[in-house]
Amino acid sequence: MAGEALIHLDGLSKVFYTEEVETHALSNIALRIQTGEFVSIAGPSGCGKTTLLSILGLLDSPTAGKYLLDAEPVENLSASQRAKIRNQAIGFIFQAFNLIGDLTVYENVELPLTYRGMAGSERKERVQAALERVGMAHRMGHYPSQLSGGQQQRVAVARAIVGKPLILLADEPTGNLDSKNGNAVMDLLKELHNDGATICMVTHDPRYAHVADRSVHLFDGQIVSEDDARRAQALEESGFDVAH
Amino acid sequence: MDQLLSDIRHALRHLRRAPLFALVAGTSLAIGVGVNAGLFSAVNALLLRPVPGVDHPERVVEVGRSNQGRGFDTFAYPDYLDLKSEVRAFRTAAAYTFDVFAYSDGGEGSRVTGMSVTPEYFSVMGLTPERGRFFTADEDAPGSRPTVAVVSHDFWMDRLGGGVDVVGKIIRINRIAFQIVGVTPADFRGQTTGVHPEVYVPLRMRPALRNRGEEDFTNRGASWHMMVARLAPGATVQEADTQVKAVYARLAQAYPRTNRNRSGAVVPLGLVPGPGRGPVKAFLSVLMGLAALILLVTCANVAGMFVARASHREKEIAVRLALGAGRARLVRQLLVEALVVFAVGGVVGTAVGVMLVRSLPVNRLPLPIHVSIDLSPQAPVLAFALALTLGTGLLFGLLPAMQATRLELTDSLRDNGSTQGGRAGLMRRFFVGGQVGLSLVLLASAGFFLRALDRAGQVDTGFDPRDGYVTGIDLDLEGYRGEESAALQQRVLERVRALPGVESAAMSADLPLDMSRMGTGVMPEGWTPPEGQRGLGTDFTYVSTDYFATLKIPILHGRAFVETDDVSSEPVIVVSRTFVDQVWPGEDGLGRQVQVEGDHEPWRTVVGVVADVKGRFITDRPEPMMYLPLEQNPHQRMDVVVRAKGGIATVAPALRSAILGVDPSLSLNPVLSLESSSSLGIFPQRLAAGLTTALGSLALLLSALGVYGVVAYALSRRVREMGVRMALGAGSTRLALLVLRNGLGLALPGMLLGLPAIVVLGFVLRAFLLGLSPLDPVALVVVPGTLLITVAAACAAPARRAVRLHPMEALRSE
Repeated sequence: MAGEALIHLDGLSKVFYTEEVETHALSNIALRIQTGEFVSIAGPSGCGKTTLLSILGLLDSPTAGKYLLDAEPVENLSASQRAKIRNQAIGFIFQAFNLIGDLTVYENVELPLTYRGMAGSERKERVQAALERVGMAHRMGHYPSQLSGGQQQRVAVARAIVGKPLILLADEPTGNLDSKNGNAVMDLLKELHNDGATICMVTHDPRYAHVADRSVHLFDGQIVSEDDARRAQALEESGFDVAH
Repeated sequence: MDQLLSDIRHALRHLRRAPLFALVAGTSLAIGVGVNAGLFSAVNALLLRPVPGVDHPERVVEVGRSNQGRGFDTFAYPDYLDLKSEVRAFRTAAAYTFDVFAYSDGGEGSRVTGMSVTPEYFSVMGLTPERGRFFTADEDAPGSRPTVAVVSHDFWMDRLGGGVDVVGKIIRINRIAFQIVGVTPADFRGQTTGVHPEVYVPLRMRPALRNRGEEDFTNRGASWHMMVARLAPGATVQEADTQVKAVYARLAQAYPRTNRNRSGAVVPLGLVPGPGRGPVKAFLSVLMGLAALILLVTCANVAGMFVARASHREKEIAVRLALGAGRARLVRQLLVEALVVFAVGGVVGTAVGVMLVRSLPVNRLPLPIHVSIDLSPQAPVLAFALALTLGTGLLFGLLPAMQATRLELTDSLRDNGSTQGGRAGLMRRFFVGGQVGLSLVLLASAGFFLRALDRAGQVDTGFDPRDGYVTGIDLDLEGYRGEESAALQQRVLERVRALPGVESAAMSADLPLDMSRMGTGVMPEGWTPPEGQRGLGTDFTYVSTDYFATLKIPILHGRAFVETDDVSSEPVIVVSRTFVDQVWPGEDGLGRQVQVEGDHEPWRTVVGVVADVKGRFITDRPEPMMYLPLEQNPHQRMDVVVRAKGGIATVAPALRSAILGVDPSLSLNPVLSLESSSSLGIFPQRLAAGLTTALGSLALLLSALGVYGVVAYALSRRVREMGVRMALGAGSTRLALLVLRNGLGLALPGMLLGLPAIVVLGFVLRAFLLGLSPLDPVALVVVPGTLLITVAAACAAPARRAVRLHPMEALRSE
């Protein structure tokens, strides 16, 4: 692909230190995601998918390596700078929806815009549009507890897109849903992608991994080829311990 | 502003959705802020508020006389004249005395609060008459008898009907007719809190009203007058003080017999008079200190609740951070939520606290005059409550807010359990430990005062108040003079003694434990005063026959007064054991003679020695006391005391009826039981015990709530661990003990810090504790024990829950 990548990781690693144990969650990750791409990150449990997504979303910092977001280095930003970029450039969709129970649907979707300091009239317009986009405009006065899981996730998608971010980061967006609602959410993400959204999705469900333009496979904190990933998956499913 | 309003809106919604949290936190804070606001309204009323109605009150000063550098006493009139003319820092000065007058409108007389003032008094206060005029210089001329009066606005309205023809009206004060010449403005209710003068008369009328001679205006030894002054333009209180001291230095040289060792002091005008300001300040400071402790306890409790609540909201906070809220923005939001809770608690607490203080029965104290203190909420009280609410809200809201926003975002967003559990737990333990420590101090102070109150019942006061009843007659107020007075007193005693059920009756100018005492200097025979001292300072009173029998004061040597101790016989006295021990150690004192300081005082022979009696307060050390027989020393203002069976409901009307049978127009003090009147002597202990017990109980309750909250929360986070322990064979007792250990572990650090504080507290309060040891076992063992038991009780419910957990369900819990 031509031009500067939206996301550019090079030599990225993440090590967790506890009292006596050093855990290498990510090792030497190199990854580029172009604007408009739909990338899925797949791999078995504990392979580092979520850690990678957290670093991509500036929720966590890498231990080493380079991370350029929209051509700007972001690996060593301050907490407030990271918060500002999360607010303006990144939209999150979580497995557990993570809507705020005390806020209405409207207020949940409005939240990123409020943090951006946007004027009320513009906020209203954007929230309305985002909710219509996900088919939840008729529930804007409801509280999350009054919605089904699928509806909650659609609201979460609306919240993710309302700020018109550069990229949507989805962490197992169907993980807490039944297949029908899961499919509906995936259809929604596909539509968004078709409309030009850049999406990076973590999933361990092979059905949904293939919806993406490209799958990145992680194993033991490293990106592996698709063939290697399949072999590792087969070994894991057969009950053999995978050699590290 | 938009964001702030939005934060407030969300905070209110949060509270609506967590009503129990709002109720408990709001009530806790209401208690803390309310106690402080209520007490501060008393501080404001007594110490801070400028005297209402006085023009530029900051320019008005009180002048007091000191003796050997101590005290803030009354003046001799000649001293007042010298100060008035020589102190250039005074623009004008006035002399005055407070008085109780008998006011009569035809029927049974009534007591009114009055003042005898020089004409300058009103200009010193900067008053303009609401009606008529104030006194003129002519009405202060030596030898004049100006029967004119100024009445207060309230007196005009309440007693005289508020008619426009008030000026010129005649009223009878102490049976003398006075013409009203003016009315003070409505906003001036006197210069002293609680005492609202209703009638003002010229100082020159005081001898006539009090049956005294003119010598009060010429005798430098007769110190009856108080003094106020308005500062000259540009003059300061310090300059006035320096000049007053310089005048007194000159007077000490010019009149060494009366003025040696005397000096003066100048203080700004205040609602509590100069001499009382120090003790009032000290007492209120102690109370405010205790109130601050309870506020800290409540704030620690609420802060602990905020920390717990933030733990429950960890995911929400993480989501907000993930969506781009800066940490400062979230801290602000959480702070606003805390401030809303503090504001609700503060508003409710202020309203209730001020209301409760206003409802205190100050006007029901067993005092001869009506006392009412204006405790209405004023701007400084509201400002104090607001500052307290905001200050504590910011401090105790900020710490949990800072704590709540320190998250590991990835874990917090993924249901991986609390990422702030350790830090939050530590903070909650800190708050609960602090609560327990502070509660221990409050409870211990309650324990000290309750023990002191208990001891008060065992302290030998030297007299027996049971079955004693007292009222008072002031014959100065009733127009009786000389032999007429003595005859009336005799008739009153005869009638009272003849009442059915009365064992004995007597009169005394002063009674034990009523917060007041008369004092004088005496020269005992054969006694050499210490260097720098002219005579022996002793308390004294005038008593009739049967006084010692009526109060059951033991006679140790000699005899009591008898009817033959009259003006025709040798002057005699009875003295206390401490009097004899100080001046004639090793003797019984009988037959020895004593001369009261003064030009023409006779030598008086000691005929009896009685046991020491507590004077003003139950904490008083034994002081020399001298009793003079009423028959040899006529005195106008006397208490009538009887020992009778039947209770106050029976005795009071009979006593009043017997006295009024002698003269129906007499105005009597209310009839009180002697136990009630002498309860003034333990009033500080009673008040302190009541307040500290209430505050200590609240603190205990809040600590129990705090411990319960933390232990229950900790258990909710350890359910799976409990399941594992059960699976490994832990029995119910072991699990319950685990929970109990958790609770006691919270309390012990606070208690260990609180224990040394109790010991220090015991030494600080020692003067009030009637000899109770600062290492009193009740304070050091029983109080901490009670607290520990309460903490253990607070753990009972979580322990019960732990014991009742189902192992499989516990193992499956998240």
